[in-house]
Amino acid sequence: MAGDWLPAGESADIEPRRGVRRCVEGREVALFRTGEGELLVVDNACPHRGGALFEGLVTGRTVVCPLHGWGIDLGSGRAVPPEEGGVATHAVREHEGQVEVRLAKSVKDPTEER
Amino acid sequence: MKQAERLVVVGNGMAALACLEKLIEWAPQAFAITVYGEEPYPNYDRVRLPAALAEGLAPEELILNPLGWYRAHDVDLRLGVRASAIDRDARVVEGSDRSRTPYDRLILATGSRPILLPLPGIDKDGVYSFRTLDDCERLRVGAERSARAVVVGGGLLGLEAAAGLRRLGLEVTVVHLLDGLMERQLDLPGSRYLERALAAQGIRILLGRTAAALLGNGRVEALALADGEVLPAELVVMAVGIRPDRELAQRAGLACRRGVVVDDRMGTSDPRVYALGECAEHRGICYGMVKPLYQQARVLAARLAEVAVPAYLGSRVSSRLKVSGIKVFSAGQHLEAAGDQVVRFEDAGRNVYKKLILREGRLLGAVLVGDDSEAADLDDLIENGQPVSLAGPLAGPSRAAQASAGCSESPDTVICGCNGVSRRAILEAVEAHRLTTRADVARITGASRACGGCGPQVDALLRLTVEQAGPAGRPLCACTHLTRQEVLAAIRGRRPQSVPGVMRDLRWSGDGCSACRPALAYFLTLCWPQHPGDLGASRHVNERVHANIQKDGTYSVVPRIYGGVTTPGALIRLAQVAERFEVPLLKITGGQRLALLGVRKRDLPAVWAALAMPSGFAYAKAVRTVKTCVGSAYCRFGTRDSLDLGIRLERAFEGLWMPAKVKMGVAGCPRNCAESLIKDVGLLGTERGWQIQVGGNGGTEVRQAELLASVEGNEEVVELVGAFLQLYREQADYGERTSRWCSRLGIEEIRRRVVEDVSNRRALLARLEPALSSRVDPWRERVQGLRTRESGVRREYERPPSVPGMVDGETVGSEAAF
Ligand code: SRM
Ligand SMILES: Cc1cc2nc3c(=O)[nH]c(=O)nc-3n(C[C@H](O)[C@H](O)[C@H](O)COP(=O)(O)OP(=O)(O)OC[C@H]3O[C@@H](n4cnc5c(N)ncnc54)[C@H](O)[C@@H]3O)c2cc1C
Ligand code: SF4
Ligand code: FES
Repeated sequence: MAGDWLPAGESADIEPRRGVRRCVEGREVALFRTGEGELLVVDNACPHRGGALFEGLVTGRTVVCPLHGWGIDLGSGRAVPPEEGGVATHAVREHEGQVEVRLAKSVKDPTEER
Repeated sequence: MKQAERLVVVGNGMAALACLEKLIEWAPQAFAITVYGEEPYPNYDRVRLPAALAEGLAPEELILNPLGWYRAHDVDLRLGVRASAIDRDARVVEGSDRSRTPYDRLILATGSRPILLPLPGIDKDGVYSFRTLDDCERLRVGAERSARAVVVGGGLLGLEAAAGLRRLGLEVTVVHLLDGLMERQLDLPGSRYLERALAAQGIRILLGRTAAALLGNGRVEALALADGEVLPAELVVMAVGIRPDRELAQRAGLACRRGVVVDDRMGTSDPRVYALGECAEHRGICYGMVKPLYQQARVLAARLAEVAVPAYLGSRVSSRLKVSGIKVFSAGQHLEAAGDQVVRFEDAGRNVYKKLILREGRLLGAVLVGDDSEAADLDDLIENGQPVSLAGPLAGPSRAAQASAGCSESPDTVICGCNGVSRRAILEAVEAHRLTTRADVARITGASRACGGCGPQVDALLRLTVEQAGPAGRPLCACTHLTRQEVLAAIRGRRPQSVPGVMRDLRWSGDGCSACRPALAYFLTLCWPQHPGDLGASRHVNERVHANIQKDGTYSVVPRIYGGVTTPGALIRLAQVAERFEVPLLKITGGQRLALLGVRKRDLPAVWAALAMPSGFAYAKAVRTVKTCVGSAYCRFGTRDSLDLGIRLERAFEGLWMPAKVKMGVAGCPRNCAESLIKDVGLLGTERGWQIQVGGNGGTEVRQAELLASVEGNEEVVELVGAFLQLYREQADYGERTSRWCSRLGIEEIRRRVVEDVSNRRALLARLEPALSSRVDPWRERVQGLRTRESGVRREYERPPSVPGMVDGETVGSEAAF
């Protein structure tokens, strides 16, 4: 059974092409809104060396990590080649100005689950 | 316009589509085209199946002609429908969906089928062939459930399957009938080198062995060899060869031997029926590579479009082993005949084997294992058969290195063997379409699109053209075809707007990238200094937050200390702030100022307010420090007052956005205690005044500055430095420091525009003025923003709000960050 939906702040706090940092049930996640308004949520630590992804540059559905420039595909959580590895992604929804997140069970990064 | 002829194509593969693309180009609308495709996919790149297996590429990544292509060219694609019969009298093709499609002309491009040995147990689960995308998907699923795999067949295909499975972590054994691997491309010694390389990857090779039966109930559990040995395996790949798919043609009474027999213009025994690709047999040869089918496609398309093109006389093929990471290349004749001259080069240490076969001074064939850097060069020599001296081709690495860099070769050297794309064709396409990436070159010229073997050479050519054209000539980045100048002119020509607004107006592809988004933000500040707008989302975090992000998510704070001169009060405030906010590291920097490192993001505004000092821009593409020496104020050798000028320069140009960081130094005499000669702008005091040196760099590429001008007083220094900086702001590439820009533009040209051409200098200063007058201290601006509860500033710096019900509004993880 998937986890339940947890509150994660206000929709208005997340501007287009920006990320914010939230702690949901002890888990540090980064919430992003793309230029088109789509919300995407991943674990906040970059697979490379734990960089704070929410501070990264959002281009399309990718975030560029602020520390050493790895690209992370926010849809799949996978690092953009040639880098390898990735972060877990989480389900997210918006309703009447409130954001809710459903945490993925796995902690591992998606490329290992294949 | 005569009524369109009805053209039916059986086979939706690489040969069919290569022909249709050319035909539609040469004779658009001349044919009403119907294509029968048995596989459930539009045309995809079969050549990259081994890469798909090894790297888990999704089917979409291999598609060459998406469904939209067929619609756009009104091709009636019958996807997943097999052509079951051809009635040549009624000139009708029957489909497995019981459709009947009449034709005026018919093309057969049915390719080949993998040969499945009629072994007992061949139909058990876990036995695969390796021909189609579905094979590849099934193999990937099978590999996940298996630990050991056996590949029957040690040819090119079998070895690429083995390498792919090995990459997926399986134990792999290859069983080969003959005594040497890839016997159609390598000689025996070459095979030994390849065997060693494969063994080094943990792939086991069994030569001269015959597969006898597949054992296991329901699912395969082992492969039994004829000599009784049993190889346990949960996955078996049959890669013993392919057979041209001539069955449909044969039943329709067309002349066939091993394949469908075609003439030099791809015609079959029926004047209205043609054939090409792997199903066709031309002058007794059935080819199994893409290069021949592209050549055949061109000849057949020309015939149908009534375009004059030389007849097809056959292809000289070369092949590479992909995926395995082992460099193997073979071209032309690989086995010497009596009387041939043979040149052999072996280096057991590096496991490299090279062999050339010559006859009457011409190169007939080449076999390379372990080092294929001379592949294109040798392929070229074989293709045009020019006389070759024995020493030439193997003269040594230098020639090969040159060859691979593609710079000294003749323009007609073929770089991409699969599509026959020459060096000249690539360079012309790069020039005409301003291409910057290998993917662009592949899309436009086809080079490296098929097997990718020539990818490195395409990259080398790209680097070559980029350097020659210089940054001004090439597009800003992969998201646009516009050059830097064109983007800047477009921004200046419009009203001030946001980065997304610019991307929309200039029809950017996608949402920009980490190269162009910050560049566009900078261009907007350059063209519209009084209308900053919210550029935060396109800035690197440091320039958005106005502090340097540290590895743990904290930040460093480096306030201005003009010319490195400070006061007791300032030092006391710095010390108190460091204590009050428990700053973990307080350090004197190489830029003659003090840095507080490890500050929590939520403390930044409070630290700035307590310091009451402007930001030192230690994080920004802007003026960073103006280092000074003691100068004539106190120093016994001081000829000029470097402190006074240094402080004045820092106040004059602080906070001005630049293409890259700018560092200055002011030394009061030629002893140069402020290291002025490795600064972007360096001043040296002399008896008669100041030397202004520019374009120095003390970082990764140390460069000595060059003399811009010698002037009398401080006024002239500030004026010339201002004009120089404005020219740099307008002309340099984003991210290009003055050192590289000066060496590119040349100090004479800069001197001409900044010093000698007085009216141009005035114009530069006039354009600098609005930027200077609209500067604001970002720290004070943000401290005020917080006081007035401005939402943007609160969202950036305040601790995330704890929302009712959110279990832990507080943040954990790198607590230090918050
Ligand atoms: C603090 C300081 C080291 C120190 O303790 O002295 C420093 C710290 C950093 N330098 Fe530096 N540089 C510092 C003086 C220098 C100097 C010496 C100087 O300025 O006189 C140089 C060589 C001179 C030069 O640049 O021409 C220098 C050459 C670099 C370079 C290489 C630049 C180049 O063009 O080759 C980088 C990389 C870059 O800028 O992309 C760099 C990048 C950095 C960054 C910003 C790395 C980053 O992007 O995060 C460092 C931030 C550390 C942190 O975690 O906050 N730092 N850096 C110095 C700050 C000076 C100041 O007061 O602003
Ligand atoms: C794993 C692998 C790796 C390869 N690597 C290389 C390489 O590195 N370099 C190289 O040059 N070549 C390589 N090749 C060979 C290259 O892919 C083929 O030469 C090329 O695909 C042949 O194109 P074709 O159109 O003649 O046949 P195909 O690509 O096989 O296309 C024929 C299509 O017609 C369909 N078809 C057949 N009969 C019917 C029917 N009756 N009705 C409807 N549809 C039908 C088939 O399903 C198939 O989709 C490789 C091939 C494989 C399998
Ligand atoms: S030299 Fe390297 S490690 Fe040291 S401060 Fe500069 S960038 Fe950081
Ligand atoms: S930590 Fe993200 S790129 Fe290095």
